[in-house]
Amino acid sequence: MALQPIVTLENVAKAYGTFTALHNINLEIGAGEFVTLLGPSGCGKTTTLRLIGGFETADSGRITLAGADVTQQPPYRRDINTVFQDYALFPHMTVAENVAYGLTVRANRKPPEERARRVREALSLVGLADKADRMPQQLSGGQRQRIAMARALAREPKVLLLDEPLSALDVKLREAMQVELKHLHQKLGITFLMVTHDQQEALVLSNRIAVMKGGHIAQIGSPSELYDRPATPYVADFIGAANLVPATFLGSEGGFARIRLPDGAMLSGVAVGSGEKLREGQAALIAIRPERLRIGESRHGLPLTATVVDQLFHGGRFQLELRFDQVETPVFIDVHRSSVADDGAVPQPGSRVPLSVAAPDVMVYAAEAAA
Amino acid sequence: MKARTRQRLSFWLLFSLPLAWTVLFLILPYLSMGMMSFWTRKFPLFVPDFQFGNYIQLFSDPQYSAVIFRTMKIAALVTAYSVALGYPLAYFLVFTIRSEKLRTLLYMCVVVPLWVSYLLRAYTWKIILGTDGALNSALLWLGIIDQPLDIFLYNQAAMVITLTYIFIPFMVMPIFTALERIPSNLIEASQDLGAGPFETFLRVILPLSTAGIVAGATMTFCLSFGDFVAPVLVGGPSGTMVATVLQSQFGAALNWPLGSALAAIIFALVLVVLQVSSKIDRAGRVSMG
Repeated sequence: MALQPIVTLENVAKAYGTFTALHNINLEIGAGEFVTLLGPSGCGKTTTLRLIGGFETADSGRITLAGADVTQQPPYRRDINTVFQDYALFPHMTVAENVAYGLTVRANRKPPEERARRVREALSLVGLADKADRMPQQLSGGQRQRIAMARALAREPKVLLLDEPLSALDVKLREAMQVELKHLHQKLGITFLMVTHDQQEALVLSNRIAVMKGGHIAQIGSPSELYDRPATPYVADFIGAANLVPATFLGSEGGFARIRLPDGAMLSGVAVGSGEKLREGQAALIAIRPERLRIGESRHGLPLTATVVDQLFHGGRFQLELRFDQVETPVFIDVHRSSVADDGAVPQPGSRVPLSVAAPDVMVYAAEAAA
Repeated sequence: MKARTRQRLSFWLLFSLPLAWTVLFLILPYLSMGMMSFWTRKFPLFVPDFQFGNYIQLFSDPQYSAVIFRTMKIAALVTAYSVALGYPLAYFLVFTIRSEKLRTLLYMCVVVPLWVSYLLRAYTWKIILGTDGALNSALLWLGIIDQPLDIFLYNQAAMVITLTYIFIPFMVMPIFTALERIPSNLIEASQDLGAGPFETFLRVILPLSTAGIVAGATMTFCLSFGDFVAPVLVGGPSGTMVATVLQSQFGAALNWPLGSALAAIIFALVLVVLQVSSKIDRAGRVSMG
């Protein structure tokens, strides 16, 4: 990594009783980055965030912040602030008092003028300068979320932790806040570390995403790396939509992997991760993004054909549910309405359609890695 | 219109009984108490009258005001000790005990004495503090004293101890509830913003549990203020409380009008306490939503 690391985790492990939440995690976050920990509940993403925030203590391993070992430091001695999932605004204080809280604590008491200035700045940063004298209960969810941001940012921390910051908001507001969050990050230049289970949010906001699963980091990389070259079928399935189809590996040819689908169709793909160790005749699993599968004759290999099972109307596009012969899992593709003459031209259920896909868009994994 | 009549009818059917109960057993007694406080005593009879002689007697005779002030002092001490002992206990139960089972068990230990006869619990302290009681025996056995002491029982300290013991659950329960309702992420947020544990306690936990303290203090104060069993059992002559005096006016002294006037004063005092506590409570109350 080119950037100066600001947060590092070295072999950090954490267990709750018999449940191991984290298995020796290694993570390096560069100064100024926006990194997202993504995964389903129970994958260890929140535990990782809480360990960095200091709300939990690691069983083993080391956590550093700006070069200093903070593994055993309590939260109030770490130059990190958190935006909590439910905002955690103090209900007995006004908005201004909430934002000023971190500037009035004994360890970091600022003179009144500076305090007032920073509260004002933080509130106008989130566009709520006029709400200073309200009580948190008088604000809407989105406003509380911003106050929580302002309160954390008023401390001018090195790293801002965001624990599912937008999950309590409705869809429209969430999308608007995503944009704001991104702008805020670009404007402030401080490091953001966010936890979310929403892959869309992760893709939109992050410089890098760490996909977590069962206490491990399954893959870490830029959003496009993760989307275009997911290291495992799990990541492919978790980030964006993926059509996963069982297949048989036939061998390598000109840098591409040759595979055969159960219905006998042959195609080429790129061996990724476990797929690189495949040997001839072994079971494979292929992943294709819905937008990479096109209706039309294939230029290379045997024709790929599937039966249309259902047609789902999504407004701007149709989603077709297809099935390859002798394959149980459905395959989904998108047909944009702008790409067809009229809606009648979209293949109807029951019809058979030819499909094509470019070799670099087919990812080939070993079948046993599917779980 | 018809539906409305029916609605009204069902309303009165439903509420007439509780209403009658309230009027008969609460409002009427208060009214008769208030009226009788203006009567005159013509031994052995009480004559309906409207004069302030009873109140004048209560306010001019230092014996009565002394009892009232002593009662207030004792009730205040009981309240103070209950907070001092009850708050740390509730805090310990909510924040230190990690195991849900153990917490419930310990909480039950606090509440269960309420199921035991009140008289029995007061009497227990007579046994502990008496000349041949547990405390003296222990001190004798330890060799700290060689004669049983009679200084433990029949004084104000004994009363404060007994009343604190009896009423402390009423302090622990509301504080426990208030502390339990504080979301843990508020405590984490405070620490996250740089406040250490003690500062977090002072600025977040304590303000958010004020409602529990006020509720507990109101209850322990009012309950100890009106108590008349503990003074009889462990109070002795120096521990006479207002309820004892009140009781004697209706008993041995046979002066119901004076007793009614005293009751009216106690009633007013308790109302003042309730008013003050609800003011504090409202000022400190915040919704957690």
